Amino acid sequence: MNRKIFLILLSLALIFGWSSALFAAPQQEEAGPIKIGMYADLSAGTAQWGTDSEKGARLRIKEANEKGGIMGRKVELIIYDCKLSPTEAIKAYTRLAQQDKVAAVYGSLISNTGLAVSPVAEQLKVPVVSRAMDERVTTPKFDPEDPENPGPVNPYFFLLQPSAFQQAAIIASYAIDELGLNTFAMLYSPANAYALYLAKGFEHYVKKRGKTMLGGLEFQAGDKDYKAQLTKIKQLKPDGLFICNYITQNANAVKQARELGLETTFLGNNSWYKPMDDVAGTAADGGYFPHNIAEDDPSLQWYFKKYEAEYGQEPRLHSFSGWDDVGFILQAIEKAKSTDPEKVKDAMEATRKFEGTIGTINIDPKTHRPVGLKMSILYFEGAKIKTAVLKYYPKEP
Amino acid sequence: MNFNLILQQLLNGISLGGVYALMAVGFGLIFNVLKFSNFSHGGVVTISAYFGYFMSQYVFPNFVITFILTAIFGGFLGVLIEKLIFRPIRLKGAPLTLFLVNSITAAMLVQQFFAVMWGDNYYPYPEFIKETAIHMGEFTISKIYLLMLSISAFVLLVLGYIIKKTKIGIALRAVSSDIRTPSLMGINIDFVISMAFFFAGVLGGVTGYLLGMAFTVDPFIGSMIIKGIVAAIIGGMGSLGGGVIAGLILGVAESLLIAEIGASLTPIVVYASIILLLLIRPEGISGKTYIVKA
Repeated sequence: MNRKIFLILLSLALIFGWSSALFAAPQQEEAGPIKIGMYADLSAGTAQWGTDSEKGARLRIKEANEKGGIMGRKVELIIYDCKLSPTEAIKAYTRLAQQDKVAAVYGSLISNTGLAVSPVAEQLKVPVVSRAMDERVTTPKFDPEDPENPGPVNPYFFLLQPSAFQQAAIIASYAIDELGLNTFAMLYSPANAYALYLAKGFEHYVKKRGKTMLGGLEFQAGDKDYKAQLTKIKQLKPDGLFICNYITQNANAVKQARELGLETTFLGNNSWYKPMDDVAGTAADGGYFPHNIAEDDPSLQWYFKKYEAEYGQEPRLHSFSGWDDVGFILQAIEKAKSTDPEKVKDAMEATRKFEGTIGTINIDPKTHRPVGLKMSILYFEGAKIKTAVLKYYPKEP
Repeated sequence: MNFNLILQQLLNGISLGGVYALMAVGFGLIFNVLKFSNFSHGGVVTISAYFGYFMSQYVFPNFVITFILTAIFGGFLGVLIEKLIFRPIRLKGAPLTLFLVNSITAAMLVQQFFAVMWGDNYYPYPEFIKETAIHMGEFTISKIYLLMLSISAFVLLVLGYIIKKTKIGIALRAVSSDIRTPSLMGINIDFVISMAFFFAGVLGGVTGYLLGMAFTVDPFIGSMIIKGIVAAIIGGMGSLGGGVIAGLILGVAESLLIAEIGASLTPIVVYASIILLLLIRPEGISGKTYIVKA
């Protein structure tokens, strides 16, 4: 009998011991380097974004270390490849939080992985900074039919660029107010949370402004041929066609649309940036898209020089993201005067006027997304990307 | 749907079907001889797509030369894969399941290798064809797709000739009906199997080149082979002509269905129909009666 009680007590002790070890907020050692985690797509279809963001992140850390580190301690980046896979992203985040005991994590740029990690971050309580634009990543109960009420925020997830609905509103507003378009269609992959929420945001804004959405045509994640959808869109004769997926999908879509002789104004998402010009060639000509940075923005030339000096190549979109996002984490650690993830999270939530290459970031504590961030509108001419407007904001947000 | 729209969707479908047909033939050829599903064909497609890109971008900026070089390269790659991963287990008399496992592993290995080595960039082929579509009044048809369709028809004719009229073809047919006995008659089985992989590899090389040209190269370009496998199954595994016909039917069905019920529901209808077809007619569309059967 005594032995039974002993065994039960021992089991309980083990269970409680394990669970408290599992769910207790991990503490970073107070000496040695400050550890920042990162999970990114270093292989798989979006590997260019992942490796670019890593380069930007490392450049920021190098600069911080050259200036003596943060709170007198060197900064160290621990990075894992999550291969565009939600399960790999969860594994990487868990390892960073529990084994490596990092102060904060710079998460992958992708919405699908952001959606997977978000609930885990709420449990393990190590804050994640990311570019995952799907609103549900920072506000899990977000309903696309009722975007004005985003629902409760995930305290441990932060977005550092305009969200899907915000970006969709920017390009839709430009199309309506500056290009004078009235009727629209969309082509997107619903399996990609980023594309799906951009499409939902675009449709919401177009309808809000009293314009006509003729149809949203979908394709499957692995599809490369969209002629069936584009033939239908051709028949709908929209003024503008919103194509909001990843680079090769966007490039294939515009090439095939041109082949079919579609005469409409192409409207894109932020994935229309380089190397879309190489991949799509002249097929993308006449297409407009919103972007966080513009090459001819005089306020960014210092970063172009700095990055080129370091890597011998010019920075692309996520080379800027890496620089900004790690800078945001470092500033939060400095403000918190601690590497305790809980305190770092509080400092992130309180961040106002963080100056990034993307613009001035003010975090909305209710959504953990930036407020009022503008984007440049770029367009294609002769297979080259040019700037239409620097720092545009919707006429009616 | 009005008539013009249906006609354009038919054109879209037939051209897309040409792509599926080309993959189905490459896949079916190996199934004919060794009786296993050769997923490593997708690996040959991927490697050839990269090879074609590097040749056309950096060595010979000429479509015809690089296309032929890539086709030959694909052929030798097929032979190499056979020698490295299939021959050793064949000589040991391993069960067919092991061939299948090896072929899937090889496909995954290639995919991951390219994802790690070159996955962080995009590789568009040079613009060999300036005007990529042929316009006929209201209708358009893609030149690259048309090329794929013509090539799969041409390749099928050549293969049909080789299989029926040449010694190697007769040997291939003999080996496909019984892999052991022909060796007693003085046929070099190893050579015949290498030839089958060479022909399939040439098709893989052609497919990789044309897919890369049409859609830009990425490490996952070989995964399109799944549609080719589906076409091969519908056509009757191992019947090359059946694969081509099934490829065209699949392409047309997809185009019409996507326009009518959307891309999300289309695979459900397509795959359910395939199960139904195989329940009613397990040998596929053409089954055993088709003449081109190696």
